[in-house]
Amino acid sequence: MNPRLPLVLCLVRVHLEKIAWSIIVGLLAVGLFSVASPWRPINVIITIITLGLTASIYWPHGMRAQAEYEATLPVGRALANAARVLALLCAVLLIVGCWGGCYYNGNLVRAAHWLGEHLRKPNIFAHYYEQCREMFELNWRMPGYQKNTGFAVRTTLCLAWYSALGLAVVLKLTRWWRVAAGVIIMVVGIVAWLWGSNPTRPSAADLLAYRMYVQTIIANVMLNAILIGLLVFPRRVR
Amino acid sequence: MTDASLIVADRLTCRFGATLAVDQLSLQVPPGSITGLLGPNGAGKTTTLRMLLGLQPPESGSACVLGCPSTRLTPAVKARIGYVPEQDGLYAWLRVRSMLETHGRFYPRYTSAHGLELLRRFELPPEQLISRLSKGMRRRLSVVMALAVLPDVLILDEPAEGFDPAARRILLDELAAFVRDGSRSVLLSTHILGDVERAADRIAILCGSRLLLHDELDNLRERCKVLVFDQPPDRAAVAKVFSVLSWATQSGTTEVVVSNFHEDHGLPVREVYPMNLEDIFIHLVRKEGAA
Repeated sequence: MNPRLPLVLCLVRVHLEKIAWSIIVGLLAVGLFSVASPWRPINVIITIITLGLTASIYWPHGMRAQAEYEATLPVGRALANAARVLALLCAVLLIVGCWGGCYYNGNLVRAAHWLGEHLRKPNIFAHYYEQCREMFELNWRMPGYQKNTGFAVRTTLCLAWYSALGLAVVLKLTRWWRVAAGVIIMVVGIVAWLWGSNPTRPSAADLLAYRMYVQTIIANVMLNAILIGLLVFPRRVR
Repeated sequence: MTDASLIVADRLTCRFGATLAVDQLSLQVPPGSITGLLGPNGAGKTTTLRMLLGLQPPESGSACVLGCPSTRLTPAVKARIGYVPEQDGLYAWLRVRSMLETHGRFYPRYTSAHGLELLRRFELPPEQLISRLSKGMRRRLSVVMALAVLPDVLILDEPAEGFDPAARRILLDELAAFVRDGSRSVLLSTHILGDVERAADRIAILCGSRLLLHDELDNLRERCKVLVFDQPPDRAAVAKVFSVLSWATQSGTTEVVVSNFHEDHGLPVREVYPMNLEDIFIHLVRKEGAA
């Protein structure tokens, strides 16, 4: 492993701290607007505005002085800049990931459906498109899908979880017992997610649905692992 | 050029559009010395320091810090340089201790104990948010960060800006201790000439983007004197012997400031006064400006 990688991650963590609030605001904004309007152009516009806000909060203020400070650090300017970009990508990943994760059975499927319709088969999306189309149709057949309380609960808990993680970054909750508390929250969050995202209890035959839930869980565990890693790992470098 | 010098600049030139910021600057900072880099506003001090650190590419000329070309400073060399920039790049959303620890993590010689000791000496509250620090306190933190990594070279750009007198005293004491073992050196750019006079042993004065002089402070003091004449002397005769910086006649006496004083001048001088660094600086810069 490149010995300077932990230092770069350290910079990423520092930058993530700066944009933590905008990430939280972004998540809440995306969540709220998505709940209000599951799939409309306004949703996309709000997401873009949120990402733009994140970038604007991040880049201009003190940017030059900080970039210059980082250029004098013994990691090299290129790596320091890479850390900035990586931090921004993390923020984008968080917001988009949450957006996609929250609405895996909704907006993301619709988006993939739309993409598949436009790109047509055969293409690299063909398999995924088929999956999504089936899921899409399956979902619409499910009773209570469009009016389910679990959907709202899932969204709320998911956003609460990511907000808590964001807060942890802000407040630098890096002591082991705080991290342990974070892991407990994560487990609760995932359980709640499962419970909330599956109110209609599709039959065991709906393997496709379960596969997608598993994918959702894996994606979330990975996302959370990255976040917790960013929180804990750089501080244990020395 | 001295091979042993920790900082060497050789005919460094930098231009911003049509403006010549630094013109053919050559400078050496030997180990064990504190060099004061002085100059009026816009003389090119900050640009010079930034070129030394590779933050500003020179148009021509070259510079080396710790034997490494400034344009290609390796991480290992950077780890041996402490730098206080003109504008600090502190992360305002961190606390003082966290900023110091984050900074120190990049430097192999940093230890938390030493960092915390410096925070205590500079009277910085470790748990304070940087965004809530005053300007002077932020500067203190920048200085602590530069000192805490135990560098071999310190490059300080207006480090004491916003410092109260007590903090300035602490800084000067730290700088004196820093170079005491004779292996490390400091390049200090500042407008507080009293500090330079107390701390520095070498002076470099930039004016109009050129290096006006580069000498030991004691030599400078020996060379720059005020000569008092009871009768107005012949200007041509004085100018033949000395390099005259200024000329003033008041209440029957004439005071001539010269920059190359020597004893065997043969002029009817009543008294010779020493000058402080501020007076020397002002006279030199005025003369240069008039030229």
